[in-house]
Amino acid sequence: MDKQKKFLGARIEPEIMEIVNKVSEEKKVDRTSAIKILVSAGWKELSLEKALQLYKEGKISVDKAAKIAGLTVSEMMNEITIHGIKSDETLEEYREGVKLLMDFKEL
Amino acid sequence: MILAIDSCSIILLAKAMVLEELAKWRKIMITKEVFNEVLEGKDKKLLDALVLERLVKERIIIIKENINKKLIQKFKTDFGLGGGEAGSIALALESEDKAIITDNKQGRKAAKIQRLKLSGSIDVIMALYKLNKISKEKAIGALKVLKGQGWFQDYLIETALQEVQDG
Repeated sequence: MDKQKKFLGARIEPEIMEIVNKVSEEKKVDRTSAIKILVSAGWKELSLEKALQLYKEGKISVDKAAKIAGLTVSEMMNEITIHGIKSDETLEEYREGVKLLMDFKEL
Repeated sequence: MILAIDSCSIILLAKAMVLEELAKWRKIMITKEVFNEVLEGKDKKLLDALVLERLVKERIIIIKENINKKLIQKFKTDFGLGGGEAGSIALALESEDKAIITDNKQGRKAAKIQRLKLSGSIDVIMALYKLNKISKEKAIGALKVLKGQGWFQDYLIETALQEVQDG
């Protein structure tokens, strides 16, 4: 047995076992591998959920959210828009932003 | 004059096909971290990664290194910013013009608190258009790309589109 690997014994409900069996069948892998696939997918989902929530609450930036979710910044931006979270730039800020760029001296 | 820009705005402006026009018009500086964040999309052949790589290679966009690490750490802690965003705010603060382009919610909040001059991607497109740096068709196309990205509130894009259409 690989010394890096740890043993984990767990009692699980029949419906969870059914999911494990389904993944095992679909992926044509043993049940241990099926559990690993499910844990990994679940972790990704939970990480993304956490990143989106923190971003939505204004607690972290996009790049920080991307790190938490294990995505690139571009992928994180896609997730943010898919979940309907929008920039909070206002009309007044837009006007100021345009003016700022136009008022700067030419290179 | 020098403008700092973050990953988020580089990605949006590259997708809208106006990043090069902006960088040829104004001096744009980015941090190494921002460069790396955007270039993560290179393996997937993302347009933004390929455009930024070329613009940096051609020295149209400059990478600024040796930014105040204590300041970066402070912004990471105080505002929950990632390395790229924190570095961009620090870079803007260190520059003479103290200006930044960011469409990142938390980045904009930090920029306001630090009293930086603030602009965003829609503002860039409109300024480029108003000063005849891009055509009406290009401005409309760029705004429609941003609309399709879904990043901004619809009314803001619609306002900008109307302003371009009205000439």
